[in-house]
Amino acid sequence: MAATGAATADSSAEPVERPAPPAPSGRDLRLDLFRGLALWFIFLNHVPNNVANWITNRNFGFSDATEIFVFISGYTAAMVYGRQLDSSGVMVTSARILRRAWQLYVAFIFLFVIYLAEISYVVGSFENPLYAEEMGALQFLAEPDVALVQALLLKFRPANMDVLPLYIVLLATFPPILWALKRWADATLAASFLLWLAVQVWGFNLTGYPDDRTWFFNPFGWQFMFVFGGWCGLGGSDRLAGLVHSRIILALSVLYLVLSLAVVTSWYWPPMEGFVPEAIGNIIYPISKTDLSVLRFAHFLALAVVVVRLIPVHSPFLYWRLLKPMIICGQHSLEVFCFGVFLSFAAHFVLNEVSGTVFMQLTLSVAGIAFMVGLSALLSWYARAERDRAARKRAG
Amino acid sequence: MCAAPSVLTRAGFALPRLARSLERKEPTTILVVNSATLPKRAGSSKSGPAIPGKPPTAGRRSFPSYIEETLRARYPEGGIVVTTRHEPRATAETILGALPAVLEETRPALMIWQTGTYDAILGADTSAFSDAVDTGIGYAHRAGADVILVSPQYSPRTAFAFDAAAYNNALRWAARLGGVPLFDRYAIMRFWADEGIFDFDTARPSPSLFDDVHSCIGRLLVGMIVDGVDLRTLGSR
Repeated sequence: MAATGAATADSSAEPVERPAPPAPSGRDLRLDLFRGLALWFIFLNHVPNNVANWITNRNFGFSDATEIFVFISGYTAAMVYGRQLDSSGVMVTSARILRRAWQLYVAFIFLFVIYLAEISYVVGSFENPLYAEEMGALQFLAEPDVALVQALLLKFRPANMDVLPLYIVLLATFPPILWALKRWADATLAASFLLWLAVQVWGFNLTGYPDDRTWFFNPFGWQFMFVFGGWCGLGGSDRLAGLVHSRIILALSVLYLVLSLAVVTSWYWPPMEGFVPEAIGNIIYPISKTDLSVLRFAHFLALAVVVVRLIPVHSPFLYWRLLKPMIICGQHSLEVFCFGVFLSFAAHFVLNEVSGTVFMQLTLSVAGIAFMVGLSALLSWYARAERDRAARKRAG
Repeated sequence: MCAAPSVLTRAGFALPRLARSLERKEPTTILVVNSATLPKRAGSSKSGPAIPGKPPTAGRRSFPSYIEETLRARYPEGGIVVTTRHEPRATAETILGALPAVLEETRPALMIWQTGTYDAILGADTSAFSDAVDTGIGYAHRAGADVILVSPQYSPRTAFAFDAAAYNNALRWAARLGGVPLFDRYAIMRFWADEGIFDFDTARPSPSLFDDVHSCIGRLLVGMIVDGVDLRTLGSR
């Protein structure tokens, strides 16, 4: 089925970030597959106290689903909009990117309203002196006059919704970056790297709300992952092929992944507790997610090297029917991401209000993923129907 | 009822300063620095020393008062006083500013430092948090006090809004680095919830939940204190 939709996909001029179903030659299905997987993991990680989030990659290494999501988003954004830049020009392409950022902004506000509703409900229904402080904090967040304005300014970003403001900022600033990437790819990447490096050294960040809390995902740090993805998407990955396929790099990557696995298990598995020597710990801790620490970035690179090695572009594995749901989720990343945030609120609500048993946690995890797949199937169907209608109109 | 896995209740590090003070049977002060607000019925949440033997107003007792009671029974000579500083809505960094003065004033042999809750609520930077804890441990040691760190509560109802897990990790590491015991309240409460010992997320909690949980935490903390004191004694013999 993937192949049949392909011919129509390329002819469609729909200015969306994803050129829906894959073209047999062009589209790298691995991007969709792993973005889909990242979206599932982000959903699972966002349901607190859920046994199912033990399977996600954050428990097995320094980096987590966010790195995958941001990298692939940069990659596909540069690929798709880069192509449009050639055909439609800078102004039109920039307008399309900004429209996408606007859609994300609206989605963020929508999700924020749902979040406020949940907070208000919990505060109103839960009287437990044990949690006086925690509840007090929620009450504070539930002051809608302040919280709403701060949210509109992207300053107030409740946990779980942090990726969205980051993505909005990355996309909104993407037009000039894309233009620069097309002209001076390496220089742009180097500038992005220097900005990231400056963050590692001086640690500046955007401010947030409440008080002086800063952005959980520092855009000055995370932009490097996005720009690096974009650089790869515009041909950089082909230039890296030699490196990626070198045996030494592969060996180093595997070694790094194993070490990182050992360090991470030492955080939660008592037998491993003394694994990290103090001298090393002093240097590597804390591993900052906020600023995209070099250890996390390196872990993502190592993971990418191994994955690219294990799964070549046209691996038959990618056409396996069972992977189809994951791939279509990756092809509708914006909608599925937002829906995933909504589903994680809902799942949290059910776990607390109805039942929090392990069976319920697993059921909700599976059901949530099923809903995400259902939504993306619906979106694929709708996009196809629209395309057919447009084609008929042109023909008639 | 107050059972918890022994990995969570062992001290792991000695408490030599407290042990010395107890050995000499001197009056011994234990300072509890607590970022938590007292429940509404317990009156104002302003800081101030707990009146020995008299729990704050309307009958709710938080874990420090249980510590005093149990420790006094265990070490009757000398006299143990537990002093509490409630600093609600304070991050570890905020506390640092006042800490030297508080230590100077109270001269404790042991500081029990509960921190991380407000940092988690604010989403404070975890590296700044662990640096602050590290510095705080240094202040206490220089003022002649041992330290036990206490992690935030496990709070399933509010976990969607702020998650203490990252701050717990930071605390665990800061404790190891500073060579001080960590009372992992989060993990212990999580254990209780998983084992069905307490129900933390019901909409109608039993009236005794607060007292039960705090008395258990007090009792387990005393176990950890005694463990830390004995570690030193064993080592010095």
